[in-house]
Amino acid sequence: MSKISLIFLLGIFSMSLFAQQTLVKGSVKDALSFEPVEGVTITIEETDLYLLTDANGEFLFNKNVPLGEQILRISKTGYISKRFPIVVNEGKTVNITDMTLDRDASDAGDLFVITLSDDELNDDTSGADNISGLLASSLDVFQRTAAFEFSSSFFRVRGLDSKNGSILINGIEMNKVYNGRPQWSNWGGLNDVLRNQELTSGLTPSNYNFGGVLGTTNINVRASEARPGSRITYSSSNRSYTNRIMGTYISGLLKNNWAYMVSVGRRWGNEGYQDATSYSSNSFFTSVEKKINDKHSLNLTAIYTPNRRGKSSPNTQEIYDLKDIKYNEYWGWQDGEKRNSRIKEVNEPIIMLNHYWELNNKMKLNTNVGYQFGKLGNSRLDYNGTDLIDGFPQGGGANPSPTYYQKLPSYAERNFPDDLGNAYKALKAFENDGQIDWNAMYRANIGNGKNAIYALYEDRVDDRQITVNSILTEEINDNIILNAGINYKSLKSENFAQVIDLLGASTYLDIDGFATTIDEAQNDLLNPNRIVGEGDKFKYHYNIFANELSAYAQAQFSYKKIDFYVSGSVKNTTYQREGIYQNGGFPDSSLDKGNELIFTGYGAKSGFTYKLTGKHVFDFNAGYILRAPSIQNTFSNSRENHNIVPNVSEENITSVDASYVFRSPIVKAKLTGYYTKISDASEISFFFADGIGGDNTAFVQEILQGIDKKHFGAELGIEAQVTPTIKLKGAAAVGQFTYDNNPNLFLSTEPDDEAIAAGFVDGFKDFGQSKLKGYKLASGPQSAYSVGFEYRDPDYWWFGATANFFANTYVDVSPLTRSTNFNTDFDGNVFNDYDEDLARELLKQERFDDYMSVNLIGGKSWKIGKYYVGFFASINNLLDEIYKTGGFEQGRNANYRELRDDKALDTPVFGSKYWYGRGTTYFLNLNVRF
Amino acid sequence: MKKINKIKIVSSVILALLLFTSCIKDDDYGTPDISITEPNIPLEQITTFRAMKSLYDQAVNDGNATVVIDDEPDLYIEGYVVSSDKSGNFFEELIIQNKTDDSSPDNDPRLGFKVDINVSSLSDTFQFGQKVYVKMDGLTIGETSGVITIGKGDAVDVKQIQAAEYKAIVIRSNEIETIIPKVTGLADLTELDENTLIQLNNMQLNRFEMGATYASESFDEFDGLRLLESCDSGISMIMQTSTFSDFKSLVVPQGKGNVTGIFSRDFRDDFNVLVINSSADVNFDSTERCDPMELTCGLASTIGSGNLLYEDFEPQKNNKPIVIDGWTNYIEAGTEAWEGYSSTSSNASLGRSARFQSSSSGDDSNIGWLITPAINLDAQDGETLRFKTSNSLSDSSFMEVLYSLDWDGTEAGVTLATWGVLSAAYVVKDTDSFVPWFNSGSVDLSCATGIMHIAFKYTGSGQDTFDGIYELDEISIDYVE
Repeated sequence: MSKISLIFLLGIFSMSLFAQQTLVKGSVKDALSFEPVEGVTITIEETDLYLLTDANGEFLFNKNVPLGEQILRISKTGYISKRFPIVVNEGKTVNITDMTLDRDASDAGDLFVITLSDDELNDDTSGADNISGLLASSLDVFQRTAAFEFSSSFFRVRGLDSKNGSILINGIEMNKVYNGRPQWSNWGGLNDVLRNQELTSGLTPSNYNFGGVLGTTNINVRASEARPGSRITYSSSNRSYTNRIMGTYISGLLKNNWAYMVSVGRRWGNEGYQDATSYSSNSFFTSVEKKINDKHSLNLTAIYTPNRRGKSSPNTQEIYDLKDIKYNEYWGWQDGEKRNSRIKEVNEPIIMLNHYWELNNKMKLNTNVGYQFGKLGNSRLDYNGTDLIDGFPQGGGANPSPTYYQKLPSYAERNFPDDLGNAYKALKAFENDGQIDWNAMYRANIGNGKNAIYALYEDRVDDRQITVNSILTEEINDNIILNAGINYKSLKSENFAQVIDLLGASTYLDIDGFATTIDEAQNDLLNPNRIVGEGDKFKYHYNIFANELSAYAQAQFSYKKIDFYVSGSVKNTTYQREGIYQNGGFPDSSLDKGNELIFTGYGAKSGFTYKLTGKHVFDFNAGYILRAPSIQNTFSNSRENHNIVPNVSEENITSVDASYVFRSPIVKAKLTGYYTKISDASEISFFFADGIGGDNTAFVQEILQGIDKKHFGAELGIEAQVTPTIKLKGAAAVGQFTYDNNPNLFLSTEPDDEAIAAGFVDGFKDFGQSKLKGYKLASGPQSAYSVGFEYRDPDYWWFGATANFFANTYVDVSPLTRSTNFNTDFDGNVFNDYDEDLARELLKQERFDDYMSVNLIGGKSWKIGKYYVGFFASINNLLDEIYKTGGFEQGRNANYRELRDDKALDTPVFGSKYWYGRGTTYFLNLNVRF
Repeated sequence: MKKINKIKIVSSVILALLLFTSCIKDDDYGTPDISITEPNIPLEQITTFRAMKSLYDQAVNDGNATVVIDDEPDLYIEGYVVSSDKSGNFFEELIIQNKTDDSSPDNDPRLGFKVDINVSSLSDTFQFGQKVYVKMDGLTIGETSGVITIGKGDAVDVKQIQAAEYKAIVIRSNEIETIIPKVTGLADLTELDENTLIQLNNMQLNRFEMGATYASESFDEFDGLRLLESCDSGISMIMQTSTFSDFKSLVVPQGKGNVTGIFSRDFRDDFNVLVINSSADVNFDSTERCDPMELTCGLASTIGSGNLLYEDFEPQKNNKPIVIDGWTNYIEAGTEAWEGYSSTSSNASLGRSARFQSSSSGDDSNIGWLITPAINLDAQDGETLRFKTSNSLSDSSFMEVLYSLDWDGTEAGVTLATWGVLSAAYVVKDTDSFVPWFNSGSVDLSCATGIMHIAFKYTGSGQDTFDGIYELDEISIDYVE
């Protein structure tokens, strides 16, 4: 501490004797490179005065400068903050040039984004999707805690999923039109070049777009604005990948007005924490900028991050008890190797061209064109392969899942309660093996000698999307900034299934073996009874076209005591489905283009910040957003027909929040209360449901329409720099996220005989209202707390520890069991043995155990000649606490009697499926910068 | 230059590191070696199907329901899989027989067993024709649905072998044999043919089954039962198809030809059935059928008040052949004839009735005709026929009601005359309960002209798979005055 302050105290301020105004000005440079540093926050402590350095690293306070002894604080993410005492005399200028900032050698900001953003964050099957990992670059202690400490527990900020926040790269929105969520893998492994992030949280205005209620993060990959240097990183972990190497070169703006960024990386591992979760990902990035003249600059960026990883399964408690929390049902041995049947592949390169135009020193126009294409695939096993005999499909196999309910001890126990030997045999068999039997599938296919019975295939989404936008920023005067933008996005999304491996056979009959007539059985009536081979498309094939045209405008006002803003947006969205196959179940509503759906959304928000004093600041925001439903939640069964969710409409979101901010030289704290209400939402979940009309496994779509949800709660973040080396920090999130009405429930499936027997008309059934009001949303822990400390030794080593507590995590309830289907018999009357009290007990939402995790982190850095070497290690969940992070009820026990009988068992046959958090894991990182 | 050096450093380090990275294999798998180690079972541990069946027969003779095979020593039977659940017509069972053809040496006669296993898609593992060894020690032999079944169990029941253990009990060989079914006539089938693969030639589905599906009619519960009949002998048998089979909604073939399947018993052990592995096992390629001539006047809406003939068999003697003036009681085959009988049990007669019983006849074939006197259809209008039938476990034997317009009235001329079927008449079916009597309905005869004889014909044998009993009474021919 003394080093730093003294140098600058003694050194470098002088006074201009001739100025009339009282000024404080200066500049900041990188301690190593002596290059100017842009975007450094300069604060005069105990006041509300702060500003950012410009591109030359310079700053100037020219209004309301307090006189006397003051302390100047300079800080920027990635650097170690410094404080400088100054003396301000009236009418004089304090000029402190060339203050230096030291790199924060720990670079901890790196760590969690790496391991989370493309791993847990991206688990589309679990619905565990959150943006907290992205908040790492925030200066707010609560948000940083959410990123570093909470996100591995699938904590969601305000209980909202990531579609409520926008992720932009160079001003181009990266959220997928399909579900509104960002596909994190699309830029995974490029941490070195994605550091330059601008984050606005909540409804706070962003300079790039209107945003959602969780704010906007713009990742700036402009080559000229990245910090020059080179870096090589190697990491080792036992979380998702086991090894990572990355190399990056950033030129900075060269004398010829060109700037380059290149980054390559590879992350790989045969197995992460869960069994057989293979990981293989390469990352390539390049960005080139040419500064044409003072007014124009062009930047071209290409991002290519192909990623393949083996998924892991949610399991019932019975399975976890027999195995462990690393157990994964998706794999089996083949030729001595673990082969995972569920591989997710994301391969969607992005190319973007950005034009920066400084119309004058007050007005900037930024125009961007982005194109993204490629594929997203999820593989799985099909076991319904048939042969055409007498013009009809005959055959089909057994469910290869090792956890298929009939293979488990609970099933034997339920069916042979007097002969528990059977349950014991099943238990032993599962304990000793309990994985997919690839060889048996090969044997069955080869033995059959005709078409494949078992096949590995991939559900594919091949998107081609172009985005064009222009963003205008104008400083009307020192107090007013205007932003306006116009944005056009056009997507063609091609969806199909593709045969990957026929497991020893060479053909597969592309037909739905469960249908009643041969016409209904056709997946494509245009090519009946089609025989397909590896690499062929089959099952379903259709395009979705989506267009979005939107505009936004906002004005930001800042004054001495109060800042405020108003912002508004409009958006026109159209969706249209085009069937390439004519589905036999829906011959009249599957082929060619369906109706075009048009949605009109708009948004309005406003807020103010009242600066009572520099210490006490109040902030208030309110907004209303009407937005189109995502494609996922619009088409009820897009694989087979044009049908849409009944009464589908735009969703309404109303959100307000209020904060109190306390800032003193030692303590910084922020307390926020929020209330968000989402209404008229629809949700479609797809799953293979057992027991809807017989024992067959049917692919059903569960459609919830007209959902209202209520999210309210409070967030607190506090940190105290108790000594120059020790910082204490704490954060708390207390929320309640619930269903706020009883939405309508529909199920949709194949229109076959069994569906008709189960009361479906044209494959569709209205289940009336699902009595969900008051049930908690399955959005991770609704309450989370963290306390911890950091110690930073002046000799460039540091460590920290945190203890985190999570509470009020709930299972995702099945809407079907909360519908009238639950208590009504086949004739519409209530079951004659229906017991209201018991029913209430059965339908009680499961709350998971509260838990605590302790995380440690520490590191050291050295300077060896020109090279900076940094090392750090972190340990997550030090105490190896076993905890559930989420789960869902199985839809199979759809009525009172079944649920009652099943829950009466020690181990239910169709118990809820859970995700468990990881046990103790480590992450080691070594990097060299030069 | 400095910049270039940096690029060089970065790229060379990356390359060096990448050289050490192993490839992650998550696709491009080849076909694994799936051959089975040929089980090596000492010959002395292999016993015959007959030996197993005798153990069971002994147990039954001793009043037991099952026999549990001793745990020691290791004991195997060697057989061939003849069932396939691929098309869903078999479920959680394997049918194995000891021969690949119809050979049946005395020391090891052709036999079959059902093996009960609580596993679906057994055909993934056990192919049709695959040689298997069943490790018998500790297993139970008993009867389920009327056929001999191997499984787990106790002294009372045969239970399913569980998924966790079946692979250690039913052991596969690499050998997959071509199974030649036993070609046989319906009348020749015996209990020993149960659980074996048979082929029936020159068969067709009964004309009343035309247009029906294998097993997806509204009245099909668990199984679709369709009447197969032989064009050679006229004998019929039920083809049983599961309502869970993949081909349940296919329409049964309309022609005639051969059919191959497992000879078995229905679920309640009431009658014989043929169960096919897949619809491909029915090869009724010939479009010609062998349906009888039919009188198709249908049923009459009214019954006239005049009566041409009424017979209630009251004057007949029990267990003596029916003798009535003008009637013919002709034995075409065997030693049994239509006889008088009376009973007041649950299987009651209507006072005295006529019946045909072939059981215990010892005959290979029993065919008996009871023929009415001549009826002149030109002498009056609106003639109708009524009668009642009942059975006592018909066991695939069957009774027909026929008419002839050209019979010369002699016994020798019976088989030479042209006989047609009065298809509108309801005759008790194999699947009907033995208790009630069934009305034939008022069969309209008035669309025919000339001299008609009506015959009640029984076909059966002394074999217990074909030795049913039919009862007949209250025959009445009326006309409109």
